[in-house]
Amino acid sequence: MKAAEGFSGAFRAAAVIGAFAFRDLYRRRFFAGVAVLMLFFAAGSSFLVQIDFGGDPRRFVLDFCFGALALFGTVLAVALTAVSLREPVERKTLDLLLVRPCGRGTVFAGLFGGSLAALTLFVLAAGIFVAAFAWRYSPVPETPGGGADVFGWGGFAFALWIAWLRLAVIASMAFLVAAVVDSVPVAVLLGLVLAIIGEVHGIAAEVWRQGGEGAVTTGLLAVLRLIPDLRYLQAGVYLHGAEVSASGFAALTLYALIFAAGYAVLAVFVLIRRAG
Amino acid sequence: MALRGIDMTVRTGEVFGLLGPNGSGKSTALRLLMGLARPDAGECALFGGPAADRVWLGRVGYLPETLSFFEHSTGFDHLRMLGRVGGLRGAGLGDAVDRAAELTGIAAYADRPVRTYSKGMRQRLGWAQAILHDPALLILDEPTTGLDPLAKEAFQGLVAEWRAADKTVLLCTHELDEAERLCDRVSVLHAGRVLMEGTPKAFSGGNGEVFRLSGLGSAAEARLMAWLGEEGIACERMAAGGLRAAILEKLRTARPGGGA
Repeated sequence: MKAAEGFSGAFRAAAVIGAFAFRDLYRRRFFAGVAVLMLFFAAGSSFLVQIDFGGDPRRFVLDFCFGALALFGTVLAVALTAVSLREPVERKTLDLLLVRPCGRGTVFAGLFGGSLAALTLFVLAAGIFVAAFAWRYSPVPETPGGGADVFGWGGFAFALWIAWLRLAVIASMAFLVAAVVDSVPVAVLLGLVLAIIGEVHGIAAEVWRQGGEGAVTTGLLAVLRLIPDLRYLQAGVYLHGAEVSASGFAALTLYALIFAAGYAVLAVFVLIRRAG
Repeated sequence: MALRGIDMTVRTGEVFGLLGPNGSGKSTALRLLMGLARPDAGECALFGGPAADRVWLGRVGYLPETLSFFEHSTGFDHLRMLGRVGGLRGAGLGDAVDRAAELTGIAAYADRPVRTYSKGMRQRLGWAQAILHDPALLILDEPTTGLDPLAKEAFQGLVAEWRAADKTVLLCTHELDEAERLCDRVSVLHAGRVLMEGTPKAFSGGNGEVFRLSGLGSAAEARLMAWLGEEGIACERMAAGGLRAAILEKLRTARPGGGA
């Protein structure tokens, strides 16, 4: 048998494992359950919007749907990633892969890739669903992406991209946690805690800075720098005509990808060390 | 489980049995060989090179003791994925999957999710993934534990085919009769060290072959006696010659499962 050799061989093997892991995750009831729940919430917005909140119904529906996407996406990102890694490790399913002629890093990267693929499907499915709602509540403006509070499909696509980036960052943090701890529930719990810290990043930093200049504050702020500020990755901001320059788009994407890749690489390193 | 100075050589083309009671270190030894555990000291060699190099992985098929699969995927999904990761492509992959499925008898249900499989079906899928890439060396850890006689017979047929193809098999088991039927040579592991080595015929007596025995502590003696008792080999402490002489005498004359 030819061994998978070189970078292209490793990439191919990781892609094969990722595709397999994705299919296995996709077939789980949990995945379908969360997706259906999210879509149910999104659909619920069409009932809520009948109550007159005094604002633009389309705006209400979009904000509501993207809120549901963020909430359920976070839970799904953490749970899927933790389960897709810890379960094969705990049950020793991973042994079947680790004795194949490919690098261990390839195996772990493949598993993470499977989680990312499942999240991508989730975001795409949610995006199509939400787009249908947006279409229903208002015609597409003739000049999309114009001034403030103007809906545009370009902004919608950008918001979806930001939503995906946010989930990828959260998934990579959960992947690192799952690499370090030895149980699925603990990994899920710690992953959610990290995601919450990421969300309240700015508030936490301000509160700690007000606490003084002590060693503890300095230490806490240093630790906080290792956690991405997820406020930058709030998709809803970009839905209503907020201008985004090309450099802003690139900076946001780079910011998220650096954190996501950094956490994932660190997790793979930890897993290789722990694999024996 | 701590292993202490295991030294054994498996020759090309033979079926070698690693025997021993639960907790004797058999599975640990195999996991070390496969690079799934790291030794505190010492080294393992495979195909004449350090096991840690892992360059030989494509030449070895491994069946772990704790056999677990991705429950929501089918048997064929597993075989195709493991084949691709191992470098098989196109028609070669399809042929290898079909051959492994046919040899192990899983073809009829391999398109069902693994979560619907019985213990025997899972074990057969385990055999299939081990032989998938036609390895030169098969390392099988407790391949028939908990299986019915029919499945055990099927496994014996599989090993016979492998032997006929001049392939090497390292078989880890705690069942003496299985070792006697299948193995050319066996090594008995106890408390992390090789206790004796020889042909399985010596277990059933008749040819006068003598096992090598290494030193035992009192706790190890007690465990060995208990294990031999479980296997139907009655043994007793002798006033003259100690336990070792008594065991040796009994091993010469005893038949596994049939008592002394």
